Amino acid sequence: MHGFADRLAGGTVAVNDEALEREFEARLVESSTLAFRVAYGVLRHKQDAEDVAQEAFVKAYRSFNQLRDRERFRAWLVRMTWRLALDRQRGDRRRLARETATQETAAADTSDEVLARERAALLWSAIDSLPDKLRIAIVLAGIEGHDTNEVARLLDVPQGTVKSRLFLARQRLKEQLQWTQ
Amino acid sequence: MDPVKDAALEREIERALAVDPSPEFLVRVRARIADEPAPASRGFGWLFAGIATVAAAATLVLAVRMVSPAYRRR
Repeated sequence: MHGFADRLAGGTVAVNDEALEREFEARLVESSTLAFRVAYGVLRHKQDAEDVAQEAFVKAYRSFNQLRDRERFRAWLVRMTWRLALDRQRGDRRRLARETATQETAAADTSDEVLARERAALLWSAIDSLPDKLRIAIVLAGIEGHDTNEVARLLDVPQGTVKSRLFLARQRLKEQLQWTQ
Repeated sequence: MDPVKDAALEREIERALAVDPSPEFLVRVRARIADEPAPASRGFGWLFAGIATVAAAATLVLAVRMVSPAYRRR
């Protein structure tokens, strides 16, 4: 018993800590862009997206030892980041207008660029108006070219569900944008 | 469904999301996490706190029972 207590108090805890730290660091490196882009997909503001992604990583770190299936880390992180980003968006919708204004002044005003910006603004407005389940599916599918299998793993739902959500989301987006391309 | 329109829409969304975090982002996250207690230690801390609480409660119950008149009469 004494030996066990010693191990808990000393060596084993240190080794566990080190192994966990190393594992978390690896997860952080592989998932940092994903978390950032998920937050960016909601907020469209780089600094806000970084703040939210950082908050999500801190939360993930605090509970990392309680995550039984570590292979589901990315799905877990995506859900946390998405919720935090929505909370942030509800808290400050004015950021969006500020970001758009900044982009507008930073870029040269050729007619093509103005057109592209207008299209992007319309697209985001249409994405924002989607129901939450369709919205997260379309954002995840748009990140790093994720296929339906990867989106299904990230959302922890069957692939068929993702396919139907993406179908519905694209239908609604095309209707709203009156896609003529 | 028109596959050409779908592909164009997908490309447009991918383009809109192809934004990278700043190079300092990871550095900031690591610094923020360094301020946090290690998760494994935290887990054992809760374990020890739980054991200590149960032990304290058991001792208290035993002490109360030992000083009660019913226990003394036995």
